[in-house]
Amino acid sequence: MLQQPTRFTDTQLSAWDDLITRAAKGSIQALTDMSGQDIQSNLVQPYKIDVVEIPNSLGGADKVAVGVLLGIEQIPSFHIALIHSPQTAFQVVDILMGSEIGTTVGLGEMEISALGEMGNIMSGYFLNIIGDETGYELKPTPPSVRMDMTGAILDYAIASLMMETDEVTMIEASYGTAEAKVDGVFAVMPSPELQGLIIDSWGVK
Amino acid sequence: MGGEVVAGLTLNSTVVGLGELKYADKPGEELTCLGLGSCVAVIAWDRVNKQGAMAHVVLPECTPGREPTPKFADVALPELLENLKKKGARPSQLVIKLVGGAHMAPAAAPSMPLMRIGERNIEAVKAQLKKLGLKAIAEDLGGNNGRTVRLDVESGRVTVVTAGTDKTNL
Repeated sequence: MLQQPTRFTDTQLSAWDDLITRAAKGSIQALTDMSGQDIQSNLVQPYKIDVVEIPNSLGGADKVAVGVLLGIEQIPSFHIALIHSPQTAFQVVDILMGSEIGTTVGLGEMEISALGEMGNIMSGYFLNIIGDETGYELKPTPPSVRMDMTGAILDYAIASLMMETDEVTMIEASYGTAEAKVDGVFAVMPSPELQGLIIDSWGVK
Repeated sequence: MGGEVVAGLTLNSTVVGLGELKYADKPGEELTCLGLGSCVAVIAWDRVNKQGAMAHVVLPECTPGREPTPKFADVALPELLENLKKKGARPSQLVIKLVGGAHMAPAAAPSMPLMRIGERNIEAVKAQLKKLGLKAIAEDLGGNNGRTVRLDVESGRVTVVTAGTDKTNL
């Protein structure tokens, strides 16, 4: 099995975990700014995972979910995914649009646009925090929003990661409001190639 | 088919995960690939010995420097055929079916080769089948939706479920 690069020191890897954790928390904070609601992060956790296990860790390969998938322009094998159950995704749309919870019952053009914008903002904050810290500028691709089986939503991301590696450090974050525990997952899957480029440009020894 | 149904799977279900190749040969057993997108499930059923194999192909070909594992079409298919032969199957008695290979890439995907990954997986699997002297008799390929596929190894029945739809026999 191809492993993550081991050329990094423990200090560099620890600083990397700390950086992506702060970036993920920052991107959840961005949801508060976007929606005007007080959205808190419940859990932000970086961990190593076999690429083949990613769908299981995000709810199960055949579980129907609403996914927002983004990449970055420079590196094909880097992915950010927002995964919610359909009911939760509808709640998220209600929160984002300031509607009464229960108003949204399906995904039309406006709902897809709202979820895509959520992906834009969260990934934008995430990448800006990394850029501010390391000087490595990253631009997200436009989001892709779809309701499908979780495995199918993630297949493109997984295939591109598996071209390069069998294991990644993924960061997973869940979030919600005090009234509505949203239980969404914000998963960031940086490829070893990208991780290496960022750490190399960072200056942490 | 027997077996208690638990969350859509029977107790005798064996999940064939990403990049795996698995076999089953006992009555009541089934092999299943869950949530296929651009991946392709290659299903081979030995109608004489009532045994089956399923490969969950993720990528078309093993590139230099990579460990040759069944996640690649050019590794999975020869290995599948070789192992079924060792278990007593003759190529002429194999019923081959293909499922998956959907176009799942985001519209703005930055990498062209990856944008066609579903299509490339289909091409690679079919090229390998041809090389091995095999041909699929049924397929549910392409499109842009996820699929779950199951093989009942006793009857050879293959069922496909697309998100939000009832299962169909292939």
